[in-house]
Amino acid sequence: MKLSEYKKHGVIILTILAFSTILFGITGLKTIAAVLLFFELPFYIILRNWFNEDEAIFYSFFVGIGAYSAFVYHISFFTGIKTAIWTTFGLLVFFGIIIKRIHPNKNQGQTSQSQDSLKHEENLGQDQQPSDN
Amino acid sequence: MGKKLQNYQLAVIVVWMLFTFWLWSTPYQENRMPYGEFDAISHWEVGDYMATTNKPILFLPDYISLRYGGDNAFKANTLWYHPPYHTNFAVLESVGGDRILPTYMMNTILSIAFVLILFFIMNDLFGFYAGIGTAILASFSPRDYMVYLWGQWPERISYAFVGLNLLIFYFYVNSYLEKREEKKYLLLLGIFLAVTMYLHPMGFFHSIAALGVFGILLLIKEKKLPFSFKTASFAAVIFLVLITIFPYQTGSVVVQLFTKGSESGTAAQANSPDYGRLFYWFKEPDRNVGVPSSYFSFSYMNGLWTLPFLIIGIIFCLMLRKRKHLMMLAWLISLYIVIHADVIGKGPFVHRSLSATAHIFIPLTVIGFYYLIMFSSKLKIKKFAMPTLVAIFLIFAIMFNAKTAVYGLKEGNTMVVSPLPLAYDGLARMNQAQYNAADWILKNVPPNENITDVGVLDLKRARWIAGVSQHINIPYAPETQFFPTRANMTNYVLVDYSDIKYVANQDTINYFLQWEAALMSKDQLAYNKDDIHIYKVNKAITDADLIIPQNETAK
Repeated sequence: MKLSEYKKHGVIILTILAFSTILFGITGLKTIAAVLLFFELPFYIILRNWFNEDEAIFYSFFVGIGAYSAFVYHISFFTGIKTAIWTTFGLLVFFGIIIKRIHPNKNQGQTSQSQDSLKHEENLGQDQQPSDN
Repeated sequence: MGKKLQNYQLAVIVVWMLFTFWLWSTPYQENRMPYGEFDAISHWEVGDYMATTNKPILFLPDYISLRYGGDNAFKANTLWYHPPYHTNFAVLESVGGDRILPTYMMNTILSIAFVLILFFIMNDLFGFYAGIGTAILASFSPRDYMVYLWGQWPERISYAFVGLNLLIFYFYVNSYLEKREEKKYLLLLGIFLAVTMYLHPMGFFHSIAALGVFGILLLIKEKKLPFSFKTASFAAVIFLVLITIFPYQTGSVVVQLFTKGSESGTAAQANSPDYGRLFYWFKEPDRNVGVPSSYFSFSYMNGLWTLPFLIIGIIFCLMLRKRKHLMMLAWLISLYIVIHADVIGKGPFVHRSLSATAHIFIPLTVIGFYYLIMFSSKLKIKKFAMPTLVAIFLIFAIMFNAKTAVYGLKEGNTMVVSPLPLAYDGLARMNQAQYNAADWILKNVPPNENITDVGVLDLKRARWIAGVSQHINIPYAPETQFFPTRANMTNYVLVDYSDIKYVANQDTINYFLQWEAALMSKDQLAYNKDDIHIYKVNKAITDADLIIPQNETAK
């Protein structure tokens, strides 16, 4: 991720956190921070190894709301919920870093091939023309 | 996610999603008390129990099992849905440090996720303006926010996954048919389908129907199988592994799938399907299914103005038939299939799937606009036609859809669609006094003790008190129209004047006071705050020991 991307995403995250704090105070801030930290971040780190930046950000939340809590649920039988939250977080981040070591992302900063194929449809007029898809 | 968003586009969708979050969260911005119908109570209390006890639920506690103990068709007294949805709430409640707000915030995020998903689908397939147009209409979709308010929460996010699953499959199919297979999309689909099942089985079956129809349409168009069996097998293995880690809940889905007339055992209805319904998009049920009549109205739920553009959108998809158009048509056909599933004995709650209508109607409506604008750009009148069409869209979206969501929709003097900001206001939800009393019970009453409620307005409120207190609450007057005798009473009695003082006349309140003075005077008043009294009952005293007031008017 380039520095400008970091800045862009940083601004968005800060905006969201500020918004939730204004609406719901410190509980709102902690809740939204937890959503980003637990449901988004670990799976972003993992999916980033296969998907481009935007895709990884988008998909990770929808994986996280199922998979993160599935891990927490099972681990919490041994540790309790509160410990399981952080244990799961640590394990998933560790897993993501390990994958990154053994599977460097070839899509870094690129759009994937399948999505490149969509670009030809950006022009409105092209929809009127015969196409192979 | 095919098209990388420009910075201004990203800013627009972020601002729009924040606005949507603000609008959908208005019911609890001022009043932080929990609200919703019985389903809402059940979803909240499962997550809350895990968070407050710091342990997962394998077998339901008594106060939840009382109603939901039989809902898991495979293993009684276990969670009836896969645990992750409610564990999400438990995670956030634990971290957020509040029993109510984090759950409601997360529920809002999950319930408006369909707006973001629809934006990305339309942005990828038809461009940014189609995406933002879809997001605008979706944010004001009454069927979506009504069900969100009532409490069928897991369905909301589960239905949102239908579009996401189709989009992922679309990406895969494109790569596969263009001979540069990107397996990652099909493998991700396997994960997403499992997550959809975790969230709610109805979204999963809708997804399967949509993917199946899309696959068949592609097979006809391309004259070849649109996926690799080998990759699909890997995806299937991922899916199976993920769903088998919750054997009780997956078992329940399987049992219900193969049980005719599932869900509430309305066998009579399942045995006599109404085939005439097949000729309607959705025929309003003759029986009461627990939703207002406006829920079945296209006009109220979508705005009649969208109908011509919806039809135009469908016609354009039928005419053009590129893969993306086939995907949209498959989505529409699959919705028709799931909302007519009762015809083959899979009901009776098919009306719930109607709440996913906007997820495909709105994109098709915007597609209608999209192609009309494209068409007009080729005409001599394009200078007038294009701005006119955009103006029509914005004016109607604001004047009908946005206005309905913010101010409600009236027909005469009757509010037929309630606005979001006024949802569950006033006496429609439990009050702070009841919450405080319930919280006191949680902290001070032994877990195995039940509570007798007197004066609690209705069963729903008693269930909310039960949820917050984590004790079974048994409501008597005014809910059951009579007062408990000493023999009826459990070891703890909650006498509640906090609501009844607003709805009953003074005579009735006086009778309540006399009843309490007569029956509870020899018991220990353990809690006395904000018009709520909680007694520890002395079971040695019976009705015969007391003089009980008689008043037939006190109901």
